[in-house]
Amino acid sequence: MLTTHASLETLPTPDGGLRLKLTGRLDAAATGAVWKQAQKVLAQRPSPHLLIDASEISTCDSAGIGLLVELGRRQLQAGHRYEITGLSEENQKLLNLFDPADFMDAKPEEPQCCSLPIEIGKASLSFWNHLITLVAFIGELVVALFAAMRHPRKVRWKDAFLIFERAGINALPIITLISFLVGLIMAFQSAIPMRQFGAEIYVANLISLSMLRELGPLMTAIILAGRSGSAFAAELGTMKVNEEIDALTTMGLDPVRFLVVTRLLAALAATPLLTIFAGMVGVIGGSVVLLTMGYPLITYINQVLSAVDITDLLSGLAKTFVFGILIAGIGCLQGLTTRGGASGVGDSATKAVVTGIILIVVTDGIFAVVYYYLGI
Amino acid sequence: MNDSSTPIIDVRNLTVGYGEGPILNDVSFRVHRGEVFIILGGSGCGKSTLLKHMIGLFRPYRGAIFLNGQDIVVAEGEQRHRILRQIGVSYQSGALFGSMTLLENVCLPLDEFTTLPRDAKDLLGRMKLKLVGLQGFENHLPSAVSGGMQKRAAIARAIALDPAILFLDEPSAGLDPVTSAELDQLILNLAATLSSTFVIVSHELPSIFAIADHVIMLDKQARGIIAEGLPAQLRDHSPDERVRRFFNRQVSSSTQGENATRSKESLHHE
Repeated sequence: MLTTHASLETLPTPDGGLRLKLTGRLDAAATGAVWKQAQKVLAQRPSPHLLIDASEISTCDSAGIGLLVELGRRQLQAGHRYEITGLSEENQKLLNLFDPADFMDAKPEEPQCCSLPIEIGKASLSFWNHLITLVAFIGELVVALFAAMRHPRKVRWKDAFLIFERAGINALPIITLISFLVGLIMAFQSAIPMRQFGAEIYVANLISLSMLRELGPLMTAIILAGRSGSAFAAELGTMKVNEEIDALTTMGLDPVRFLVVTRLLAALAATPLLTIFAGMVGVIGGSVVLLTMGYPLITYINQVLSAVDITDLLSGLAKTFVFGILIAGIGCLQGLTTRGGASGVGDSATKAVVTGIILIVVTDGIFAVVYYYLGI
Repeated sequence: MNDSSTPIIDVRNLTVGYGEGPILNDVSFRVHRGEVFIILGGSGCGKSTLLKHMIGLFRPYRGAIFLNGQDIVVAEGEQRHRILRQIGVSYQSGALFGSMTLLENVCLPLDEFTTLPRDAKDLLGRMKLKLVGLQGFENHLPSAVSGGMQKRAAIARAIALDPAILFLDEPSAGLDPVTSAELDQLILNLAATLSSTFVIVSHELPSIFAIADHVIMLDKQARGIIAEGLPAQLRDHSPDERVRRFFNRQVSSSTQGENATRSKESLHHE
């Protein structure tokens, strides 16, 4: 193996200048050490006239050329002169491509350091723009939905069914798992204190009420936001980055009608169905705890049926339509407003999930207040 | 190993494909040091496939690919990394990392594979960008510059570590004639100054005639090399009709009504 070694010697010259002698292989592996050494020398012993002796350089790649440019740049920055001697012809040719004067500024147009007023201004502006986009999107969506209602044959039902399958039916396993476990765990946790009062049977009331009215819709919506909202955003975002959205527009096909309406309809159908399913599985999960405590299944069922009525089920379901619209709408909006490349798609998917979950929780709170005042 | 008489790339009896039968069968060729070597052929003939196997992205069915004396097909682990460090690749669409500025893209290999100080890497990165004519765009994101600039930045990234061999996949495809000619000039300049070997996949005739020292032509039906040599010579003297057709931009007689098109074409050329 060849030696990967480079060294630097400094000698004073008779006229008070400095002479740097570079020796050995100046390649990417060896130049690092010499580079630091040279910078130190120049900082400690500034010299108005630097003589660089390059005659002993055995091989030199662009890192070595970089070092020579750097030395020249430092001298020019300090208002000093420099001279390179003994550089081989081919390396000289390489060096001639670069003028140290071109690299004088430490870093060109460094992004400005953030200042509070500028950041606030930028944030407000982007918030305002975002709001405008949101309003425009909702408007377009409403128009497209009305158009779809007036001409149901123009909706691309095949796409909608496919999306329903991917976003809805394929979500069944995870919905089952989570609802069952939540029902089971909640029943188990509440059964322990209730046992002290001999009131274990009321676990059935607790599970069925909370599952149908609150937890079922909320959990399903959050799972869908994480599973399908992000998928919508990523898919549409990639389409946007690949100019597929532009292609649709120039073909005279409205992306909102073509892509968003189908997803919205699919989500509108999938969310309530999955919610009913989640509630059912959650109640089944709760039953396991009571069965192990020795209550017969029929007792549990009777207790559940006496605790909840159709209003509870419907009040839970009413929310899910709104959740479905939110999940699909936010996902598609984030997808359609994607900018940049791969990282832009990632940002959109993140925003779709985060905004989706926040809006779901806020909407759920609003529903709770409304139901309270309506006495439902 | 650095003996200039030995070929820098030696491909022997290479058979490649993606699991559905071979795309190229028993291909052998050599590339000499300092050459601008162009792989050409019609769409779907396996140009990019060949390139992707030469840079070690896929494993061939059979055959050996010697890059600078070492076989990349059988190399594993550290040895493979050593070979990969000697090559630079610029992809068809640039493949710049979208979340990094052009300078960061170029500095990435320097960051990872050298021990140079921070400002040295910075300066080297800027020198590479200067070399491809992108001075002043250091802090732009790839999405903020034009397609031609992205391709040039990709070349700057590929030459960051002074590779012995530079692979370019369709560098001038999709560029306007002026930008494409500039890119050809850039490649010639780099070949002259860096003393690297260039392997280029292309089907842009003007750029092939402008820069190639040596070409091989692949064909879909033949599943291999149907011609090898200098482009101008192949255009005028190739015994193979497919080769002449390619270089003279003639429509295949089997796909078009022969008479009308042919006569018009020959009028153009006379």
